[in-house]
Amino acid sequence: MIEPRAPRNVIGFVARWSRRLLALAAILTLIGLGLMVWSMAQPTPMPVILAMSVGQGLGILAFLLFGGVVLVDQLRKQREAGARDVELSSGVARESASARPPVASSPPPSREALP
Amino acid sequence: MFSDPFLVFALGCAALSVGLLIGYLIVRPKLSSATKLVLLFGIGVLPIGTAANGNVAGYHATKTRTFCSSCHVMTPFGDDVANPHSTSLAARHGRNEEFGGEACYMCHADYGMFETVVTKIGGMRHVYEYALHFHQLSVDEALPKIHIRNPFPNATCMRCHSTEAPGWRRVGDHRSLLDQARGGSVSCASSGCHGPAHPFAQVAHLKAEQAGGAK
Repeated sequence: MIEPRAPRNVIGFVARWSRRLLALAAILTLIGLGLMVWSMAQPTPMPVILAMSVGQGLGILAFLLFGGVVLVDQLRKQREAGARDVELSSGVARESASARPPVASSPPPSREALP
Repeated sequence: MFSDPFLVFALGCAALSVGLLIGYLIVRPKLSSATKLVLLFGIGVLPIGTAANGNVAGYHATKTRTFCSSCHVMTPFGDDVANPHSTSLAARHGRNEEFGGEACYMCHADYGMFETVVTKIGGMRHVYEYALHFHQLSVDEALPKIHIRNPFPNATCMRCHSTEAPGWRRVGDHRSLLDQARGGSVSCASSGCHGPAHPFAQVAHLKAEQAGGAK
């Protein structure tokens, strides 16, 4: 069973580790690129096979990490913006509520004074 | 090396990507929009360019004779094809400009519907065989064990030798074996006809058989 708070925990984890995850993605990409360049410099079976399997696998993994970090960052920003909006709107509601005269305590207008 | 435009593009993309990523790793800036854009190019766009063009360059490389003979047990085959004095069927075809540096691929590729894919899957089997069975063997030990998996298809010969040319038809054996040659029941590369394509390998096979029989 999936815990309902799990996505928030994941977002929190990725947000905390985003810089390390991005550094990891960059290093994985560099290793993948190294394998690919090796296969081009020395096109013998082993480098070519390594570049087309391990090299590209590392590249895909790095790109997924990058995409995940960017997505989580975007979600986090949206949540923060949403929380700010809620805070602002509740603050405005409180202010307007305190500025308005108490409706229940005011007496109803007298019909006798009317023409 | 730099005559292949795919290769140049792939190396250019790789160099740019490496520059961006090393810059990122040194500076480690905050995750702003500019950082995301730099990383999108460094981790995404440029490596994809390298991989795509590297695949094409790699595919071209895997078709070359030097690639095939880079496994040590294949060197006699590559050397024979490259030998201008050799009279073997493979060497005579290797001297043809159309075959040139891709002589192995031109004859051993599958020319069916899924030509490249089938050929490359076969190539992976070669890698498997080499890694597990032939890597430790010397050339002399390996030669008697190297054999073509399926009989060489006449259809491959007939891509160039159509069997329709008058000169071809003038040869008595061609005329008498026309249907068998077209049907594949008689191989063009058999010992009685034009083959074997790699005679030194045949000699190694015979020697091994004789040695086995003597034991």
